[in-house]
Amino acid sequence: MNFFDDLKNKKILVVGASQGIGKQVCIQLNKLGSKIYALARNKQNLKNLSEQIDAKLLECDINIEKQVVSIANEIDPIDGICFIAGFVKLLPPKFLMKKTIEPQFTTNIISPLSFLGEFLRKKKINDKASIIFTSAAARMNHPPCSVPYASAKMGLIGASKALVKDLSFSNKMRFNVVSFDYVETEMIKNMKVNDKDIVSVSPVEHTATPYIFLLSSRSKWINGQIIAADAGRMLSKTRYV
Amino acid sequence: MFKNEILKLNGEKTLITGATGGIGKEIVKVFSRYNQKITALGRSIEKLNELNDMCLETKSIDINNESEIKNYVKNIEKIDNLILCHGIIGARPMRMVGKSFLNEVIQNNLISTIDFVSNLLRSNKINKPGRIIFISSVSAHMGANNTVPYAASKAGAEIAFKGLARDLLKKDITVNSICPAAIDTPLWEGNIGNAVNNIEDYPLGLGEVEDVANACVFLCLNGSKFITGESIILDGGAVKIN
Repeated sequence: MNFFDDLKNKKILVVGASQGIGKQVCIQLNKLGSKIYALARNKQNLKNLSEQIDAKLLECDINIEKQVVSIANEIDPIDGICFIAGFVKLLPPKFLMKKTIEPQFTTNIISPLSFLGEFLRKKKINDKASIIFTSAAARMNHPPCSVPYASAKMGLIGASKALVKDLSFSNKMRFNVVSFDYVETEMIKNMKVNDKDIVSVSPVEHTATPYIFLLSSRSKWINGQIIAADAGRMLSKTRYV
Repeated sequence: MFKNEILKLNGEKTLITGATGGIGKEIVKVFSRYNQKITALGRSIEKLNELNDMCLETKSIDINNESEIKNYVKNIEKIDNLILCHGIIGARPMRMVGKSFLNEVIQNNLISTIDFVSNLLRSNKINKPGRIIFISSVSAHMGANNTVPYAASKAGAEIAFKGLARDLLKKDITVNSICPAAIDTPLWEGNIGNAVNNIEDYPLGLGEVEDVANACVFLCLNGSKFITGESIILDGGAVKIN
């Protein structure tokens, strides 16, 4: 018997589907028989993905409002969204400037929230839908030189908790945050992982589990929460709740 | 190899304490559905008999009995998943909390729990990869009315298990807690009016025992290997954001 059998035929939108964590989520959802809407910027990567799995491909840059609007017009109402697209650039405090901070804020927080807003305006999210954001370092232990990234990602935690007040009572939607430590993806290829506490850099295959669980109705009473899959690395710090 | 397996349960043997309670019983039910071989511990023989069909073994044992637990643990087979859901709720106003009551709650919920796990680890009865799940409560994270000893015991055990999570980091045994808010169980019926029970605060309604059991399954999946030292709060979005 399959624990996640209720995900069969559910319509799930994965934002940032073409590589890394998003790709794994798509692969697992495909095995469970969900209807996947894979959204990403890179056309070639999307094409490669479609060779592996059965998904509806949406080529879109969520930072460009016009493209988001046209996607929202075309899509059928969906049962779940995973926001996995992210962008990190290490930045020493001396280089904090409007032009260096803004790109990281745009991709990591402003675009996902305005994307959600557009979908809500067009009534393209079904009741009881599960919306999942991807944060980083949920236990508030951030690596050096990550000021813009850290503040944007922490903002998502506040956003999800506020959204609970707005949409959980009326539309029974659920908002949760998944956070990771270092995961073996393209994104951290250039980052130096140097930490004694770390068990190992988590293989990307494992990262899909919390998303699948939070998307399925098996987690129907988990709302406004953070699930940290960081192999306990940041255990000593208090969790931000 | 694990690519296909990450959505499957870890190992095949599960030990569940407090299996006769509302939450424990549901966990037995759900885990047996996924072909786990279950050992159920509890006190009441009659209630354990109801679980016989779903379990490999049921055993009537008092978790507070030190020597009995020691002997029992020495002779069991190795297990993969351990779920600790025994405990007493003990909601009582502060002016009625005496030392003996305090001792009883702390003994049941905190000391016996840690002693049980330490017995299992001492005699090397938890397989690697392994999972330890402690059923805590939201009252360990927030103030709820009339739960002084209960909150102390649950919070104590929860943070103790975070320490254990760190100790077992490199041994491939994860240790997590699940903290439910108001769930419909027999334990609650007698305590309505005492704690977090204003149903209007719950955007998604009161919880069901099934939700706790499903969270246990999630933590026992092969793919949850990197989740350790976590407290998963189950409240439907009600409590923590107030």
